[in-house]
Amino acid sequence: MTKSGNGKYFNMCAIFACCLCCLLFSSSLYAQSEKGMLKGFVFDKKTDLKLSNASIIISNTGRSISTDSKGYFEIILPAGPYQVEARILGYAPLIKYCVIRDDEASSLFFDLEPEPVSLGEVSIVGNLEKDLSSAKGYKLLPGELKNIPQFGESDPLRALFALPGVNTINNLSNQLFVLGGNFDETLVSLNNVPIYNQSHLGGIFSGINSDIISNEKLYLSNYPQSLGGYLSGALELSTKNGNSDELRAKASLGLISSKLYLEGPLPAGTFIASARRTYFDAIAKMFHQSLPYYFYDGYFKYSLSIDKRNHFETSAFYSKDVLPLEFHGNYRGKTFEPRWGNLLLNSKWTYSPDDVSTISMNAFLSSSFSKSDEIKEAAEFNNNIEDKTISLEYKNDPGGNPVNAGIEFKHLNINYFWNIGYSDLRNYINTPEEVFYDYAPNPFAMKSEEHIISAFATFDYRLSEKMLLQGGLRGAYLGSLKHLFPSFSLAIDYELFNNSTLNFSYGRYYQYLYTIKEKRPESIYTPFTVYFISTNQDNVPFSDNCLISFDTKNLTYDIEFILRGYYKNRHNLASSYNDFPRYRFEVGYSTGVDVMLKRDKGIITGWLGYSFGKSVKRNDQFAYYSNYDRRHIIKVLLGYQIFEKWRLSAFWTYSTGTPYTDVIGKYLGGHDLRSEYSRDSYFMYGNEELAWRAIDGTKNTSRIEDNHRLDIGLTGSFIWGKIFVKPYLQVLNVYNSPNDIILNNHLRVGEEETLKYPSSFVLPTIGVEIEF
Amino acid sequence: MNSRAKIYFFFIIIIASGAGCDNPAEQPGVVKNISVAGLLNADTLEQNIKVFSTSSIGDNRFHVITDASVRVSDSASWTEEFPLNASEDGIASYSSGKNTFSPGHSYFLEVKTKLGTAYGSTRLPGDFNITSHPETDTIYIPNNSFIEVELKWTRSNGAFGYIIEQDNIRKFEYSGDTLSGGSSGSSFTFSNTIKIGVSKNLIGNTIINKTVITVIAFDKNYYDHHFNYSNSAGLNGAYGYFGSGVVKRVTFFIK
Repeated sequence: MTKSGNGKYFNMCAIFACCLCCLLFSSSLYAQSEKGMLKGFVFDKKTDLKLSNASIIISNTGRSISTDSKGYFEIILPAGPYQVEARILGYAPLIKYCVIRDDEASSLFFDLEPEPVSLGEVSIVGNLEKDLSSAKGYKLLPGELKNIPQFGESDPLRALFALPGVNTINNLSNQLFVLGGNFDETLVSLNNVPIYNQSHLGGIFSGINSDIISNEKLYLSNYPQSLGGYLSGALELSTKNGNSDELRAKASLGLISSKLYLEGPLPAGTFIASARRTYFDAIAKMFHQSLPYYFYDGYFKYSLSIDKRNHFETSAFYSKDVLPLEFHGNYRGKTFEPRWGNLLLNSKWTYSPDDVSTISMNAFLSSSFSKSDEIKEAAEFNNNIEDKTISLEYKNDPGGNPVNAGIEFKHLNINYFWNIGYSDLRNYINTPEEVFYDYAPNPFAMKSEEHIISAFATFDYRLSEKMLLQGGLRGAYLGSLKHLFPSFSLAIDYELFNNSTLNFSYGRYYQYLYTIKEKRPESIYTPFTVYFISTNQDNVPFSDNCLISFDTKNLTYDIEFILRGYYKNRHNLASSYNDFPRYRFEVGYSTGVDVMLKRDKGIITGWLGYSFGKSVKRNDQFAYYSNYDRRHIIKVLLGYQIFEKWRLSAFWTYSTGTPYTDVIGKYLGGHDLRSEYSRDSYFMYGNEELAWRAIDGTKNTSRIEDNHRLDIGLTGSFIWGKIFVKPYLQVLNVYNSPNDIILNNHLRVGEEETLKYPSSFVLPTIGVEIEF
Repeated sequence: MNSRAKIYFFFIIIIASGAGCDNPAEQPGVVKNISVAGLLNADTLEQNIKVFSTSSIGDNRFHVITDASVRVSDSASWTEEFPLNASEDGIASYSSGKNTFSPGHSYFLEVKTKLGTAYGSTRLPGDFNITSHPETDTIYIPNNSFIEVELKWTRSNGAFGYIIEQDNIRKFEYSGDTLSGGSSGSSFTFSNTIKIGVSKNLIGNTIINKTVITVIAFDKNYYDHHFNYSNSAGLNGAYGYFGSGVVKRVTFFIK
C-alpha cells in the first residue's frame, strides 16, 4: 500500500471511528443540555510539524478521535473537566487536562516528543534522525528555532549565535565565526549548495527563509570529508519535502516583512514554494523617513519519488537586495541602485539499488552577485562568484558501519569589476571599495577561475560496544596549481558511562577560497564580500584541528552537560596591513573551551553556555589577536511556558570586545598634483589639498568595549475557526546596550573624530503567522 | 580520583594551557614624528615641500616645522637648498624659486629636523607630448550637442599613470581598457588615450569657445600615497610622500 493510500485508509478509519463515537454517544450528548467544543493540534515537538492520524483519547468518556491531515482535531463534549491524551506511534504519549464550558470552544495543543518504540525486532522512530552529537556540533529543528528571540521572524543563522562556540563579529552581522575561525572558514550550504554571501543587508535578516528549513546541522570542527574546502566548520541547511496529502499554506505578516509558504502534491510529485519581501521602504515613507532598502527572496523545490528505488528533486533559490540611493551634488536627482543577491539551482537524483545503499548524482549552480551601473561615472560595479559542481556519491550502511564515497567536479569562476568615482556614495561609506575587501584598489578588475576535482571516502566502524571510530579522507586536485591537497580526519567516540560520551577527533582541512576582510568584517557594511582563489600552492590555507569533547545527557534534573576543548594550528591565513606588503599569508592558532548546561524538558527550558577562546595570528615580527578573537562569552537562554502554547523567552549574552587597530596619531598628507586653471590662461601647480591621515598603531592591540545584550520574546498560538494563528512579540536589546563597533579610521580636518558607532538598538517587532 | 573528576581535571588543564599561549604585541607610540608633503613638478617654477610634525588624534592644528633643513639633490653632486617661505594660505613651506628639475631624472630629498632626519627619493616621469588634438586645433560641434573626442599622448617613460583634467575638472569617464576613478576622489588612467566629452559651454549668454585639456604624468610614489593608501611613499623616516609629476596641456577651440 502506498503512503497516500495508507493515509486515506487511516482517514477512513478515523471517519468511521468518529461516526461510531457519534452514534454511541449521541444519546448522552443530546441528554446533556450544556456542551462545548474541544479543538486543537498535535505537533512534533522537535520539527514543529503537525501530526496527522494522532489519537486523541478523552479519558473517563471512552471517546477518541484522530487528527486530520493538518494535525487538527475537534470534538463536541458535555461541559465538565477532562483528561485528554494524545498518542501516535513513534512519540511519547502526552496527557493534558482541560475544562469544557457551555457553548465555548477550548483549545489544546500537544507537542509530542519523538521516542523510539520497539515492536519486537522493528523499531519505529518519529522524525528522530541520527543526531549530531551536541559536543561536536549542533542540530536545530524548527521547533527549537522559534524559541530563540530574534528580530521579527525565526532565523536559521542568527539562532546559532545563541549557542556556545558560535560567535558573531557584532550584533548586526550574521556571519558565523566558529571555534576561533574566521567567517569565511565555515561552509554555509542549502541542500549541499554553498552560499557565498548569505546576508541580506547587514545580517539583521539571514538570506534563508526559515519556513523552508526542515533542520540545520552545524559541525563546529572536523566536519565529514564528504564536505570540504573550509578550515573551521560546516553548516548544512536542509529543506522540507512537500506534503503529499493536500495543499498547505502559511502566511506571515510582520511590521517589516511578509512571507508566504505553500506545500502540497502535484499530479506527479510534491512541491514547496516560499516567497518573502520586506517593506522597510514603505513603512519609513509613511513616517516621512527615507529608508529605501528592500529585499525579496523565493524558493521552489520539486520532489518526485519515481518508484521505490528512484527519487528525484530539483530546487531553485533566488534572493535580491536593493538599496536605491538618491544622489545630491553633481548627480542630483539621479538614483543609484546597488543590488546584490544569490541564485542557487540544484538537481539531485538518488537511486537505491538495495535497502542499505544509495547512489546519488547531484548538480548545482551557486551564484553570488552584486551590481550597479546606473551612473557609471559616479560608481559602477559588477561582481560575480559562480560555483558549478557535479558530484556522484555512494552510501552504504549494512548495519551500523556506514561507508560513504564520492567524486566531485567543481568549476569556480570569479569576475570582479568596480570603478567608484567621487560621489555621494562616499557619504554613505567612507571608502566604498572596501566593501569588497581591505584596502581594495579602485578601479579594480579581476577574472579568475579554477577547476577542482575531489574524491572522498568516509566510514564509521564500531570497534567495540562502547567505542566508535569514524574516519574520512578527501583529495582535492586544483587544476591551475596542478597540485593535490589531501585532507583527512579521524574521530573516536567512547561511551564512558550511561548516556555519557567522550569524543576525540583530529583533522586536516584545506581552503581554496578566502576573503581579505579584517578591517571591516561587519556585514552591515559589506553585504558582498569578494572571495579569492588561491593562486600559489604555498599560500593555500590549511589547518590541523584537534577537538575533544565530553557530553553527559543527564547530569541532574534532566540537564545535559557539554564540555568541549579545541586547538587549531592554522597556516596561510590571509591578512591585511596598513603598510607594505599590504597582504600577507600568516600562521596562527585558535584554542578554547566551551561549557554548556542545557535543559529541554519541563516548563523552564534553555541553556547556560560559557566559552573561553583565543585566536592568535603571527607575522614576521610579532603575534597579535585575530579580529574575531573573544576571550570570554556567556550565553543564557531561558524559555518559560506561561500557559498552553504561550511561551516567554529571554536571551542574554556577554562577550569580551573584539580587537582592532587603534589610531595613535595623525599627519597631514595629500599635496595633490591638481592644477588650478583660470580663464586668463594662468596656470599654477602645486595647489595643496592637505588632509589628515590616520597613523595606525600595532595591529589589533586595542579592544572595543565588552558587548552585552538582552533579547526577550513572547510567542503564542491559538485557533481561529480552523486556522492556526501564531502571534509573536520580540524586543531585541531591551536595555539599549550600544555594543560599539569600530567602523573606520579615516580622519577629516575639522570633523569630530568619532571612531565608534553603536551596533545595536532597541528593536521591537510584532507579527503574526497564519497556517491554513 | 573517579573517571568524571579525571575528565574535568583534563579540561582544566586545557584551559590553563590555552591561557598560557604567547601574548600579542603591546601598543607602541608613534615611531615617526615627521610628515613630509613633497612634490616635484617639472613644469612649474616654484617647488614646495611642506614639513610638519605628527599630531595627536584630538589636535587639529597644523604643526609646521619651521626650523628644518630641506635639501634636494640629484644623483650627481648637485644640491638645491629649499629655504622656508611664508605661504598665502598661512602654511609655510620650503620652496625653491627656480626649476632645475628635469623629466626622467632621479632626485633625493633630505629633511633634517630636531625630531629626526628623513630621506626620500623620486624619479620624475619622462617627457611626453599630447599628440591629438594639437594645440589650437578646432573642433566643430553642432548646436546644443555633444561629441566624444579621443585624446592621445605619447607615453611618459617611468610614469605610473596619468591624471586627466578638462577645464580643471577631473574626468571619470572610461572607455575600453581605460579606467579612471580614485579612492581619494581623484581619477587617473594607466592608458595613454582617453575619450572625453566636449560640448559648447555657456557662461551667462557667452559661449566659451575653447577648452583646456591637461594631462599629468605621475610617479609611483604619488600613486601609492594618493591611490593606494600608503602612509609613507618614497620616504624613509617620515610619514607622507615625496613624489613627482610632469604636466602637459593643450587648448583647442570649439565651434
